[in-house]
Amino acid sequence: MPQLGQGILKGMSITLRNLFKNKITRQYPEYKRDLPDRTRGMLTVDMDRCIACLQCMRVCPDHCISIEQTKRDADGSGKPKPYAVGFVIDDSRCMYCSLCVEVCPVNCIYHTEEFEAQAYNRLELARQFGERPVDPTIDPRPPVKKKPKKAAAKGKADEKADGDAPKKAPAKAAGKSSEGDAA
Amino acid sequence: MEFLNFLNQEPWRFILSFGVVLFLTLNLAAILVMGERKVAGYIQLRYGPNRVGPRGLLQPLADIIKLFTKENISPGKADLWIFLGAPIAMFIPVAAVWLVIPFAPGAVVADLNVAILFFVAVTSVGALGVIMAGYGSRSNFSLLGALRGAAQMISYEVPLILSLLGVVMLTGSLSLVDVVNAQGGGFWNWYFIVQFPMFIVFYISSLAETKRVPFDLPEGESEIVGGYMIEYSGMTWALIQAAEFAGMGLMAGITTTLFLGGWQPPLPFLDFGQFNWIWFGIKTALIMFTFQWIRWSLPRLRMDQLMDLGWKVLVPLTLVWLVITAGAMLVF
Repeated sequence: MPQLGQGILKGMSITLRNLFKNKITRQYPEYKRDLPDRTRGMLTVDMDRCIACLQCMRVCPDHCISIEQTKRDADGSGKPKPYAVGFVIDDSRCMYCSLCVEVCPVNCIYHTEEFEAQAYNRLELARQFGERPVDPTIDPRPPVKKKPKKAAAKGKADEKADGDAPKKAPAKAAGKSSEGDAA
Repeated sequence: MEFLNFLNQEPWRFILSFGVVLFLTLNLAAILVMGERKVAGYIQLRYGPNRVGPRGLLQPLADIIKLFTKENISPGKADLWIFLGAPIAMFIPVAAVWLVIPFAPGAVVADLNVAILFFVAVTSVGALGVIMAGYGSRSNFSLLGALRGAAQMISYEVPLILSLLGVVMLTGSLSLVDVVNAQGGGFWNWYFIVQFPMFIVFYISSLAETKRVPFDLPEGESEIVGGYMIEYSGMTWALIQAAEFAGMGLMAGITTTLFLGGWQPPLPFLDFGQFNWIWFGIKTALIMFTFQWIRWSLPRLRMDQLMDLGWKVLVPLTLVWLVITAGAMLVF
């Protein structure tokens, strides 16, 4: 029995050597590594470039972006254009899928390297970018273009929203109706 | 001085030193948990806990505060008295055995002339605690863990006791103080040299008695998720954990006392007189470190392998070495 206990000794010697080796842990809050170029951190919006096309709001699978849109002559050309007065990104819902970044025609929404999204309250994670704050508890419903279908779709959506609303935001029923008016 | 002499009178001396030993046992458990996590971290190329206090040294304190504030939950159908009594039944024997261990010359709480018998008798009560915990929880996994624990602890009691006998034969006494005194005058007089196979057997059996890896079948978190202590939470769980870790410290202390010369210095000129407890502490800490080292290196044994090792290897080995010891004593 020449190899009796050899495995044990081998394993024990490896663990003993590891005991004195340099540790590979990176002490996170003190040491932050350089993130790769295409890191998907928290989203941010460049509001000067935003044309309020609502594409990001429509494409978002988690409904985490909501935009309040008006018409305003922002560039002084004399023609009122769509303008986002309210823009909220709710990080408590965002799953960093990057679809909004891909869909944005003017590249105004993009990922930062910021990844430390933490708060004591879920609503604190909703970050406002526009002039006017948007209620993040309301499920954003982009306006539907086709006129004849609008009534039916809206009725359906209202039913659905009523079903969903008590779960997500019981106290925000009033806010919902106002948002509907704006849209 | 008057007061110290008064405290040296019999009932007060015992009560005081018992309190000290209890304090030591509880703290030992906390410190060993900390040591365990640190050693685990370092072996796995991590740092272990390093946030609370300097280098994480206050982690046990934070753990204790957390455990005290946790709710104590018991299963609805648990046998409540047995369920709550089990942690106590596990902890008290461990604390009681510390009473007979000599820490330094003259520093022993109770110098029993049957200290080794006391040790053997009281540690076997620990198996009762395991069975109580498993039975009282009224949970399948708990009961499985308890049955495994009972089988293992009772089987390994046999080689444990047999391996003590060589030391008892050489010393001619069951008192641990006599055992330590007989090993004086340098490390070549320690019993682990003449009784080397017994030392190994005792070491392995004490690993099994304290239910540590590679003999942690009663716990077996990968198969029976936590064994007999699944249903415990908060302070009862902490007491079971304390009993386990204090038991590990106790086994290290007993190994030191029996085979590594107790408080005897390794070389005669290193004798510190009353401060020889330093030697006891160093040796015990080394043994504890080897326990932890094994814990984070070796995989768990299967139940049949465990029983094979106990009954087919360790028991015959001790019996053979007992005969050899007796023959050698007859010849020399």
